[in-house]
Amino acid sequence: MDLNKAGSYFLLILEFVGIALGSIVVGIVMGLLACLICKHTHLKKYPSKEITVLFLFAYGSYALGELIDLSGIMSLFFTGIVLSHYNFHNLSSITQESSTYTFKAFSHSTETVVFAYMGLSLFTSRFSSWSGWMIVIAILACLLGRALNTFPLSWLANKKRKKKIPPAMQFVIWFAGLRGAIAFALSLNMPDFGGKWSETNEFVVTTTLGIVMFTTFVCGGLTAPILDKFGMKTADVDEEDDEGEFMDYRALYQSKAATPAGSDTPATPVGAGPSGFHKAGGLHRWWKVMDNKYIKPLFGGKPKSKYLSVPTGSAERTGLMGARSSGGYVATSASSAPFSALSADSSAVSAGYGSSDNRTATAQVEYSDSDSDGGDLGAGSGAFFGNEKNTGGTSEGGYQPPSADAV
Amino acid sequence: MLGCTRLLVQRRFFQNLSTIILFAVVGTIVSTFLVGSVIYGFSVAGVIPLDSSSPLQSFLFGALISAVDPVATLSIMGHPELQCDPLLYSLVFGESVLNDAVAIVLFK
Repeated sequence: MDLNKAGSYFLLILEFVGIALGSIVVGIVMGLLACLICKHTHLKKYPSKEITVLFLFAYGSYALGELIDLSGIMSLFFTGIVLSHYNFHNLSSITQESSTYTFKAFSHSTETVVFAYMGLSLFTSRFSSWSGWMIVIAILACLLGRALNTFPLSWLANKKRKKKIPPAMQFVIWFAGLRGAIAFALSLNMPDFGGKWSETNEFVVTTTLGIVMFTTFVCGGLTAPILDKFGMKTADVDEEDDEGEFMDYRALYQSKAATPAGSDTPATPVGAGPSGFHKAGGLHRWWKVMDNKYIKPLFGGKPKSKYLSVPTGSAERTGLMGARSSGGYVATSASSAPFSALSADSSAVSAGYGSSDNRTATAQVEYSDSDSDGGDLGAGSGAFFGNEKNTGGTSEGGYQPPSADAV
Repeated sequence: MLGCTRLLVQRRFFQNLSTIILFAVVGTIVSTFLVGSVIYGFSVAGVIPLDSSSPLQSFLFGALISAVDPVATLSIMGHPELQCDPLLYSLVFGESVLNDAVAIVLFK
C-alpha cells in the first residue's frame, strides 16, 4: 500500500465500501439461509439441533467473512440481525427461550476468555520493550482523537436527528471508546515490512496492551459512575424483556413525532407502539412494507398488520403454506402509491384486524382472486373503513393471489 | 477469534444507522490520522521508538488503536445493572461493530 499516491486514497475508500458491503451481503445471506432451513424443515421438533444450526450459521458467517478477507465481525453482526428479525419466530418456543440464554452464557464466557488472554499475555509473553512515553502519548492521542471526532460529529448528527444527542451523552460516547481484543490481535499481526520493523513492532504491541489496560480499567471502570452522574440510566430497563424495551425505546425515540389522533394502540397488540412511529422517511416505510409483505412470509417472522396491504391473515397463511414464489408480488412493488395508501390508514387496518395472531378472525377473510387493492380486502373483514381508495388506491394490476406451491 | 458474542441483536441499530455510520467511518478515519500523525511526530522527535523514516508504521498503529472494541463495549455497557441508556448503547455498540471493517481496511 502506497499512501503517497493520490489515487490510493480513492482505492482505499472503494475498498472499504467493497469490504463493508461484502460483509453485509455475506452476513445477510447466511442469516437467510438459516431462516430458510429453520422455517421450511421440521427442525422445530429438535430444539437442541436448532440451537446447533443457529450457532453454526453464526460461526459460519464469521468464518466465511474472514476467509474471503472481509470483516467477519460485520457479517456476524448482520447474520445476527437477520436471525433475530426473521428467524426468531421460526424457532420452537423451547429454542426461543434457551437460545437466548445459551448465547448469553456463551458470550459471557468468550468475553472472559478474551480478557483473560490479554491479561495473561501481559505477563507471560515477556515483552522486553516497553516505552512508557509511547503509552502515555498514545493514550492522550487516542483521547484527543476520539474527542475530535465525537463532538464535531455529534454536532453534525444533531442537525439531522429528531432526538438529539445531548452533550452529556456525547461526553460518555467520547469516554466509552474502549479498546480491546481486536486492537490487540491486530497489533500482533503487524506486518514487519521486510524485517525493518521487527524490533519496533514490539513497541506497538506493548503500547496497544497498555492502552487496552488503560481504557478497560480506567474508562470502563469509570463508565458506571459517569452514567450515574449524568443521569444516563434508563429508569425502567428490563434486560430480559426485549420487546418491552424496544417499545419503550420506540416511544422515546419518536416522542417528538406527532402521534396521529387515530392511533388506537390497544387494537394492535402485536404491531405494538404508537402508530405514528414510522412517520420517518418514505424509504423506511417502504422497507417496512416490503419486509412485512414479501420477506417475512418467506423467511419467517410475524408480519405486523399495520404494514400490510393484504390482510395479515393471508400473509400468515401464505407463509404457513410455504409459498415460495413471490414473483407475482414483485410487480406490485413497482408502484409505490399503494404503500402510502396503506400506511396512511395503518391505524384503520390494525383496528380492523386486531391482533395479527388472531387466526380465527383472519381466517374468515375470503381471499378473492380479483382483489384490486387493499380496500377490498379490508372490506372483506367487515371492520374496515376503506377510505384509502381515494388517497392513492391505484389498482395493483400486477398483484396475483399467492400461489401456494407447498413445500 | 471469538465466535458468536452477539446474536441478541439490537433492532434499534437501524434507527440510528446514519449517525452510527458517521461515527464509525468518519470518526475512525479522523482518529486514525490524528493518532498516526501525533505518534509519527513524536517518533521523529525521538521520544517514541518507532520507525521514523516513514509514517506508515505510525499510521498503522493509529488505525489499529482507533477501532473501538465491540467485545469490551458490550461487556461494559451491556451490563444489566448499568442500565445504560438504549440510545447511548446502540450508538457506541453500533459504532464499534462498523469500526471493525474500517480498521481492517485502513490496516491493510
